[in-house]
Amino acid sequence: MITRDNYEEFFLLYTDNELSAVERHEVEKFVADHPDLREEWESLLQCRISPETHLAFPDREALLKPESEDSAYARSLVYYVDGLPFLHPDTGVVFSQKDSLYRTAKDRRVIPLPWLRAGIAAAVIGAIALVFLLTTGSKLNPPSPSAKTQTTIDKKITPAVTSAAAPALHLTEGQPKPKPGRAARTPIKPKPEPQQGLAVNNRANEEPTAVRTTVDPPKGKDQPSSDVSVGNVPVTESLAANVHLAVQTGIPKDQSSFATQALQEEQAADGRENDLGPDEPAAPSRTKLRGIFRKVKRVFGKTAERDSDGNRQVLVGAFEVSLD
Amino acid sequence: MTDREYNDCVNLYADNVYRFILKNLRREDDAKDVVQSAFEKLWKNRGSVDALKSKSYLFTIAYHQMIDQLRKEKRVELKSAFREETIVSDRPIHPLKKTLETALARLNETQRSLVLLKDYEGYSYLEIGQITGLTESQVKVYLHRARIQLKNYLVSLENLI
Repeated sequence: MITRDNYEEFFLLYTDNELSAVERHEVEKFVADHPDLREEWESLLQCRISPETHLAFPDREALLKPESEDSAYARSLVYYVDGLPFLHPDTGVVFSQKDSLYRTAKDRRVIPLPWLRAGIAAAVIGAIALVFLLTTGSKLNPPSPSAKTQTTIDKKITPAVTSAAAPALHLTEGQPKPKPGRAARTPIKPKPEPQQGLAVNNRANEEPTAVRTTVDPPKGKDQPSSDVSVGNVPVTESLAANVHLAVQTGIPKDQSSFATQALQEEQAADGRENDLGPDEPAAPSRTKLRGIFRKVKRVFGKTAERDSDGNRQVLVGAFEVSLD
Repeated sequence: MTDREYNDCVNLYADNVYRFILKNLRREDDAKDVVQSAFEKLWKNRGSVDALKSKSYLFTIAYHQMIDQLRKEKRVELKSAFREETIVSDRPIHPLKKTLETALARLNETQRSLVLLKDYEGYSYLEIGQITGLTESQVKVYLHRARIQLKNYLVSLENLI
């Protein structure tokens, strides 16, 4: 709103051309409504200085600069419009040493890290071996009570058989030395099947399969090297059956053989384990350790004397070690 | 800014800058030196100057060089009579226009520059502030004071006549 108090500022803004069209119209209307202020308004308008266009810079050409190559495209257009020829690239000029510019993958530098690789490989192998041992240990220790009992019996009878082989050998020492590859001539009567069955049945009431496992003859290449046998039954089998009979018939501990004592102790341990009940699982760490030790024992379980030549030898895996 | 754009600036703005500087310095040689120096600086910095802002760039450089030139003149204490003689005037000047030239010469260099930038080039308050380094309100106040001085000078002369 223009008043007599602020009109001077609006006049100055009008002179400086800083007002909008509406504001300019309001100023002109205010001046028309107040003719006494028109002279002052016109005097301010006269103070505007018009540019002197006749004044020109005298040496303008000196300020101009020659155009560089960046305007070549525009110049080419001008030439094209004017019908003038312009330069074309000369494709005959080639760079003859392009081979020196090529790069191959062989030039790349490869930093060898032998120790790092070896360390990674060792870590991977160790991890695989640990997993294998743990899995095999868990497989050898199934959670069912009957199977657990079977494995414990199997584990504990195997060394008993090996130790029980000594008296069997003692029995055959007095006999003529059998020739290798022939059947034994020792007049050892085969144990009656009912006795073995009796021993088996006494335990078969609880774990029949476990007992059968204990009397399985050794398999593999050990089978033909066994000279001491009764018919088709190996001596170790008959010895194991005798041991079982000894255990079942209740021979006093001090009068029994070392193998019988070992079997008695193991059966006592089995009885303690069975007393735990089927619902009470064994300690995990203990079962794992048992799995590992069982594996080791199986390897050395094949160490039953294979002294076909009368020499005491122990078979460890695939190697025969002489005990003499 | 390309070379072509620079040459376009020469063709478009050399006269404007020259007039502005000549009206302030009132000596043709000094005005030419200032204009040449301003364009030389634009040529050197053409890579970083936008072509759309080249006019403001030129006026800013020329204004500050002009201020430096005026400060040198103040130190030398040139006589105003000598300055009046050096004004380039080869055409008959209208009496009112001559009176305005005299009134403009009586302003200080800041007020004169503001009036010339406003009336010659039509810059806004904000643009004048960017060229001269003043705020928009300062430009407005200084310019209004200059207008009132010019008006008072014209009115006083009319009263005398």
